[in-house]
Amino acid sequence: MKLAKLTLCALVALALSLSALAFAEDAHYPVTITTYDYAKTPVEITFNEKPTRAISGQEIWNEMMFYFDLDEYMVAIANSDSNVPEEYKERYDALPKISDTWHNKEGIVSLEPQVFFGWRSHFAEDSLGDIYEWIDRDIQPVVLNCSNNACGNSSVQAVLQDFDNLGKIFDIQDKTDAYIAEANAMLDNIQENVAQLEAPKTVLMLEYYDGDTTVYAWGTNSLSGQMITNAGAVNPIDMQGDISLEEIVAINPDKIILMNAGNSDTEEDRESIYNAFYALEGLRSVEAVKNEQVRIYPLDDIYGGGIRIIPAIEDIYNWIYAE
Amino acid sequence: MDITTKGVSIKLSGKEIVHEASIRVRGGQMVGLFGPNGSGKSTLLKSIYRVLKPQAGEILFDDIPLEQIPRQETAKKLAVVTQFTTLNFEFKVSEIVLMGRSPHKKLLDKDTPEDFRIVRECLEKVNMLGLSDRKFSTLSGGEKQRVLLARALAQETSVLVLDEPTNHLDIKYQLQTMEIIRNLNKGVLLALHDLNMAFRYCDYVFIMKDGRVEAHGKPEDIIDEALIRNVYEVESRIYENPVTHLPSIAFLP
Amino acid sequence: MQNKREVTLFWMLMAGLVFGLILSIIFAVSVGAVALSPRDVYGTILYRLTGWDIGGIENIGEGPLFDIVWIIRLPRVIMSVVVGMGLALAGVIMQATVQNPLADPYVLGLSSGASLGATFSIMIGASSVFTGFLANTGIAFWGFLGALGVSVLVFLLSSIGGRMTTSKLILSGVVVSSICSAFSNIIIYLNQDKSDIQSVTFWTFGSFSTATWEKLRLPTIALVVCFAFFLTQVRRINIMLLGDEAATTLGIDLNRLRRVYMVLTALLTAVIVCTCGIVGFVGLMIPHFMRAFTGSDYRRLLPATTLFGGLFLIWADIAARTLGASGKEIPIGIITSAIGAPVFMIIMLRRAYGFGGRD
Repeated sequence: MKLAKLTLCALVALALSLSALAFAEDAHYPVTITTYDYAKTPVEITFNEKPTRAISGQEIWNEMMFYFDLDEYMVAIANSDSNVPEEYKERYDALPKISDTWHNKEGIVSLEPQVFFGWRSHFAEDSLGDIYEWIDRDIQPVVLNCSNNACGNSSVQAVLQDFDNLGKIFDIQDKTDAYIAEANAMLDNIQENVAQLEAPKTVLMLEYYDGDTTVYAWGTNSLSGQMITNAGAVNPIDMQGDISLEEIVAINPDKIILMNAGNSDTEEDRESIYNAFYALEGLRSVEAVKNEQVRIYPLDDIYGGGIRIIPAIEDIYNWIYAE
Repeated sequence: MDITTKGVSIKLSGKEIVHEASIRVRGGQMVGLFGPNGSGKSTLLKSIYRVLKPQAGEILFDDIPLEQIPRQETAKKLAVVTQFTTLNFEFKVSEIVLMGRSPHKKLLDKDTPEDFRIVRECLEKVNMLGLSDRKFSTLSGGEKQRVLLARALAQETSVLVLDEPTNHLDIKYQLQTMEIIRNLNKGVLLALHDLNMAFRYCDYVFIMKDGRVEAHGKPEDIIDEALIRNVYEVESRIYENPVTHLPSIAFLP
Repeated sequence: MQNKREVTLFWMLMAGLVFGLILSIIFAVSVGAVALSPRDVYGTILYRLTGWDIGGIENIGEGPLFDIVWIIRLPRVIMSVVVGMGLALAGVIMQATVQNPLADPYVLGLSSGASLGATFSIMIGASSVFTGFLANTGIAFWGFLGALGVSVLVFLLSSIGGRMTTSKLILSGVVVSSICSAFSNIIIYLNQDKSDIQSVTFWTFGSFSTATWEKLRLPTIALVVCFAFFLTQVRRINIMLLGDEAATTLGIDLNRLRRVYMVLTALLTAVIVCTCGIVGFVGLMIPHFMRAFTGSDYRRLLPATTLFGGLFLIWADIAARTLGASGKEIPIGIITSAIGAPVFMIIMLRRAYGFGGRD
């Protein structure tokens, strides 16, 4: 009798643990992430299972999908013909594109997606409309945290949060956790190295194009401006806005980053930006200008989020502190 | 100076308003242009003072075709008084009359004491000297008309053209204006409404109907009841006015 | 008539304006985002102009101090004067030409034309459409071309079906402006395959922030030529104001004069717009303001308005540079409308303006 009881207990225990295991498998869902509506109010989005029909509404999301091998879950990705990294070209070509994610409500709905990865401005009045309407249609919206400052408090951590969201949604948290950990390690490393220096460098991030009448400066209120801080340098501008030439001279930055937010990033575009900036004679005595420490970064590398931000920070750090 | 129009036709917005009109103003004459509303009087005058271009015919000042005369020259030969218009800009009475001197001025000429004297004289002639510092827009209709007459006089031309100059004037100023004009010793071409004025003031008249010159001649010769019936489409009787001893027209309802 | 008292007052006004202008320029150079001592500022200028070193200034004639004072501030201050004078002049001439005191230099659609040209240049790019010389042209070139092209279009449109009248002119300006805006928007819309951050609004708010001696050349030449020319035309302009018919009877060839004046004004305004963007209100408001002092006689109004335009814009730019929070600049268009609108209202309420017609 004792043997029978023992066996029974063992069997029950086995059954329980097996089912526990089974539950553990499914325990990932439902999972909740936080995204933001157009007014920057946080919205909780819950996923009950792994989505199999997703649309990436913008190229930054495209790249994140490719990076984490989420191709098979995409029913359509954003059209970004002019700007696809080499390594993803084939995979990009293989996936269906959706034309005009910004105003193509019908096109998006007809694909019957479960989730739409977009920008804050996608959910403006004159674009795709209210985010809550999409939720009602059972199409979960996920907004890139730092797109148009959607989360209200852009930072590199908010960018990493995008990765975490992706991890939660597609149940690939092991991969995304690893990415985030590596990123944070790199960022901490930069800060440690810089702490040992006599003085960190001063860097400005500006925007100026041929024909412009003002120079724009990116401040630490924005993700882009903060990337300078992340890269171990000082960005003296707190709030983004127009900056006078005098002030640039007074700040006398060691290096200057010029953002190219134009439609294309060809050699000619860069040359045009460079020449236009150097035509501002009043800046000639500025350290960065004198020593030709002016570098152009395309918008995609330093704005909004995605897989380019972290490498860009490292690249900027290496450039700033290259001796 | 003589003004002659030969077979002038003028179209406005595709419609022919004046049809082959030929009139003549001889030097020193006072010529009246009469006709009901819509007969084309104003339009014909406008072609003479170069605001409109005729589609056919020619206009001659002393046998020289008008197109051959530069505009500034025309303004030295011919001065015009039209209905006053509302100005969008403010000027003083004296400033407006002074502008009448501009056809005689070259580009960089200053205003001379002579100019100011002429302006004073012209304002005096129209009895507006006392109001010379007033802003034009503050004047009454009659006063404005007189200022425009003064400006035309300041141009010191040999011919004056007037388009219904007495329309908005009180009787006192109507008579005054007509007397001033009569005493000018200039050639005058004026479009008038009141046919009675023809006998008192005009050496010669042209009567227009529907864009055509119906009749012309000395007023006492050609104005008769048949003409009035034909042109104005009313019955009338012409009699000798017992007070003025001039022919007068009585219009019969 | 030519009141002795009035003449004296006028010349006093002119002297006041000229003095005010000079003093303002001197003051304006000493203020800016960076605090500099007047000694440093004027010492640098003096050195650059005369070679005389007053001593006590490190690295005089070179380095950041020199760059700020001579390369950044001085051209900027002078540009605000030139633009202020140019816009006021263009405005006062436009008002006479279209016989409407509510006209401004942009009434011929210049601003929308410039924007369209600039939009085309940025979004489509001259190099992708043309070859040779035209392929290497910059934004300012296309802005200028756009501005002029639009004025020509407005001329032609308003001459259709008879004489060019002022109401036809204004209506044509409105129509062509709308068409240009529509095209600009279409181009922008069709180019939205990327994020919608960038927009071609930099023309909307003018700024002298990036003024250089080089950029000053063209506007200054245009201003001097136009000012000199229009000074010779004041008599004729006065007559134009009497109305189309009256002007014709006084010997003015209205059509030809209007065309010439508008071409020159369009050129002047187009050059200014392409140099520093669109600065509103100056061309509309300054002539009105001055009319209260000089009356409508353009022999006085024209020079007074032009000078005051320069004076006004210098101070507006000083405000733009110094009133912003934490060293940020306020776009000058905001300053001009912020001052312009209330002042305009006050003038209208006090009825001190020189409009005709009944009160």
